[in-house]
Amino acid sequence: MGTLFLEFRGYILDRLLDLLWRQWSALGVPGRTTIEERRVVDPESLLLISLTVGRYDARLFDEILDWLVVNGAFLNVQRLRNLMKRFGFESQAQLSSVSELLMKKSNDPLKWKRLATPRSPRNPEPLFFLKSGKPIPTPDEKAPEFSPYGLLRGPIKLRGHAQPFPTKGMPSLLLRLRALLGVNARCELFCLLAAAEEIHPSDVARQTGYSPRTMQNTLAEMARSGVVQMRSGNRDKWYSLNSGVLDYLLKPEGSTTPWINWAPLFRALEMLWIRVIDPKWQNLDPLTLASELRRLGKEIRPLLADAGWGRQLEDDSSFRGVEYSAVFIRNIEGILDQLNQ
Amino acid sequence: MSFIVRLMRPLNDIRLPGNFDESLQLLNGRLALDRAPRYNLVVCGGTALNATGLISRTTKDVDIVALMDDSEVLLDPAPLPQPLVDAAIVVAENLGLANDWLNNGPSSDDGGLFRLGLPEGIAKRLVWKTYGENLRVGFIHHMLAPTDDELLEAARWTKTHDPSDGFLQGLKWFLEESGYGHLVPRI
Repeated sequence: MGTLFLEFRGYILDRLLDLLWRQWSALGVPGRTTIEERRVVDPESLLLISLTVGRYDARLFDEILDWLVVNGAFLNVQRLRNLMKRFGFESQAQLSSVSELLMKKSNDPLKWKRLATPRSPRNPEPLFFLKSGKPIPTPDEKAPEFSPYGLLRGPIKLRGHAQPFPTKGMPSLLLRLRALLGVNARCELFCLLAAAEEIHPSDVARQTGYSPRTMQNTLAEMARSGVVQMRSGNRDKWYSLNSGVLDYLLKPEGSTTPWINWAPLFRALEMLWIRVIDPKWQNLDPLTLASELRRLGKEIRPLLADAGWGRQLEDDSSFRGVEYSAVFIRNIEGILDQLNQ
Repeated sequence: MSFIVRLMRPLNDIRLPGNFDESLQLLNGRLALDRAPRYNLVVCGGTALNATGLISRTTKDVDIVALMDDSEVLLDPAPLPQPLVDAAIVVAENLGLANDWLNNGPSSDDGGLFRLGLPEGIAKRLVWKTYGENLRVGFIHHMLAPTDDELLEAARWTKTHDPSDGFLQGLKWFLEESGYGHLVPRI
């Protein structure tokens, strides 16, 4: 394996873990962070990528479990399922395991039972890995919530340090709205309405993981409140916030709400991470590695575009053979650097 | 007209001019990643000439005249196996080649070389280059100084592909012009 590729893999993991720690810390997870998160956090998307990348940071993984016990009531289980299905996140076994845990620890076991998929016998593998990629040895006693899904780890000992999500600040806006309005699609809609001049139901559906019909009906109902207004153009209907009504809640700094379409962005980053740790990639010759990076680029480019980051990945057709590797690495490093600013 | 000889030297230290050494190397890589079977390609035309060092000229494609299994039995290359086609298309995209850079043109149908019949013993007269676990290429190439018997064998073989009188006249003319007029009565 080339040194350059090893360094790239290490860089991706460090930057991803920085981003995850930063976002979870902004929601009440005690832990390390150097830069404050200022964007609205999407807790479902964040959980789905964390269950994949967090396998390389056991402490983060268990802090998230701790946080879920305290704050899990404000997560939207249906949305988790929708995002998992729509974007193909690859953390289903971990999510099912976490659901098993929350069925025992939360006040609403039925809610989490909906997320636990049928237990599937698959080749057991360690849940946690070192940053080098080596698995962390598991003790003889295994966590019963994870073993049925083929994931081996020691018994879970929650520290009980997690805090309720903050009642101020942009990162927790979606969770605060859910605390106010209930766990439903209106909360995402308010975030999106505050983040744009106006929104269209189909765009909103694509960004949030809800169905277009749900978005259309909900926006139509919200428009009857007087807080949201509707504009008809041709056959389309566009929705916007009436200025001033909810600004203190949604736009405390006066500018539009800093919302990123995290689900496709995180799925793109999850795909990137899963691919760079794929054993098949570890001994590729430079030409074949460049070919694989090109293929990966083609797969993640539409996701990045959905998240508004499509221009960050240059068109591979301008670069021949091994030339593309350096371009891809530079582009991905640029994306990760921007996300961590 | 193709003449076939055995090259005594291995080809693994020889680089194909143009993109094709790189292309075949990447083709092997793609086949391995796709968990495709190993393919042994028998190649003729300009690529083979370049590979064997007899000429150096620009070639636009790699002509597969036959496939070969691991027990050295020649196989019809039409149609080309789908994993091979799929991998070749990726190589074309990656390296800016035409989509048909790897083709079975010389043996693509009933009038092609394979179905009309390849020269006897061709399988033993190929020079192989291994590009990796999933790809070996056997090159057929032209001969610069054939023996009388080799030339006669090749001339007779070409007649099986074109039995017309016009071709026969052209063949005789070629042999006479090339200093092999003494072979004309024997073809």
